[in-house]
Amino acid sequence: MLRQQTVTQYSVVVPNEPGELARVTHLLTEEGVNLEGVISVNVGDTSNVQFVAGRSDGLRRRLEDAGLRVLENQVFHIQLRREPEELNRLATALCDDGINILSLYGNLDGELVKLVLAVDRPERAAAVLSRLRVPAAR
Amino acid sequence: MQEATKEVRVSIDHPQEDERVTTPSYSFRIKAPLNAEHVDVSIDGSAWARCRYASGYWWHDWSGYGPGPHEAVARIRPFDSRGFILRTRRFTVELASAPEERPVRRAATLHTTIVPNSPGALAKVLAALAEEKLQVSCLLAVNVGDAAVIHFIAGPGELARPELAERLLRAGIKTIAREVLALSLAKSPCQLGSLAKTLADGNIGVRCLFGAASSDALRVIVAVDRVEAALGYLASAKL
Repeated sequence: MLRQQTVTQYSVVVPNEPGELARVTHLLTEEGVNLEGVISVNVGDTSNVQFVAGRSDGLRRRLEDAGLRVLENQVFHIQLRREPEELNRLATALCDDGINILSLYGNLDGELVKLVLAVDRPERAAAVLSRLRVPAAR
Repeated sequence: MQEATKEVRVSIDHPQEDERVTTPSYSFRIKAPLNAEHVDVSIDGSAWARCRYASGYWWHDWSGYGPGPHEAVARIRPFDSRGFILRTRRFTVELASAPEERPVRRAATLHTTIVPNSPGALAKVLAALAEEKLQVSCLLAVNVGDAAVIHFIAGPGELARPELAERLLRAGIKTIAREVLALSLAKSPCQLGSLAKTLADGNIGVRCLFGAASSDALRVIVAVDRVEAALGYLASAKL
């Protein structure tokens, strides 16, 4: 049930050096994936690159063959109306259910805000999203 | 002195020998041993310029130069040595015809605030933004240990930066504001790859990158260590 509401987010850790992000995106290009979301955040000597790919058959193997350690987790790819109160409503509802947001990122898309949401309790978060009638991003 | 030179790995990584430099600004990258006290660069016999250390390398940012052959000398002083190790590099600048136009301004102001990593901390920030009727157009919230780092671009877009800062403070949100690249790329990672490679080739450090796809594009925010230089490189690469 949860799988139907979530998408796979891949995470790889690379050295925090110029050219390392390009190495990862080069592999994604070779696999011909479409990116739905991407983060690269530096923490000390390393960079944590996380992304959601539209089509990802064989992607994990491609990354591992390149020597990268790949982690996967299930995240929500959702859309909200473009109103300041909407994000607040979502974050407050998750908080009220004791759900911690691990990462949240996104952009405006016309009259919508499209977001990738990772939480510590995906099952409970799925129920909150259903209750709030938050649709999956299209 | 000669013996010490043989033992340590020292090199000018960028530019490489006989490299053609075609960009209006350039960063030299020098690899030096961990015990290097400092590294200096002299170009075409100019005074020694002190390099900065970042990400395991020593860097020198260079701009305002003309076309033709150039020679750079790097000198490295190890902590345990009274002498210098010298490395020389010859390269050529071949600038495209003088820039006809300034690169399109594609920068935005990114605000960053740090809160405890606990349920409700992000909600509190978002509630304060909503109270001030500030629209978040880009958002990245990510946990780093005991803290959650929240990056956002807030509007409305026409709001002047001082007024926005005042409204954020009024909302109880202390932020650090900085200029970042705000780009719209194709959804295929090919263009993202070109972006990453262009920045890497220009020795521009990427501190943080995030983006999400809209219906027809991947909108990306990139925090870099030198925004103006990065914009120049992106314009040269037609990105």
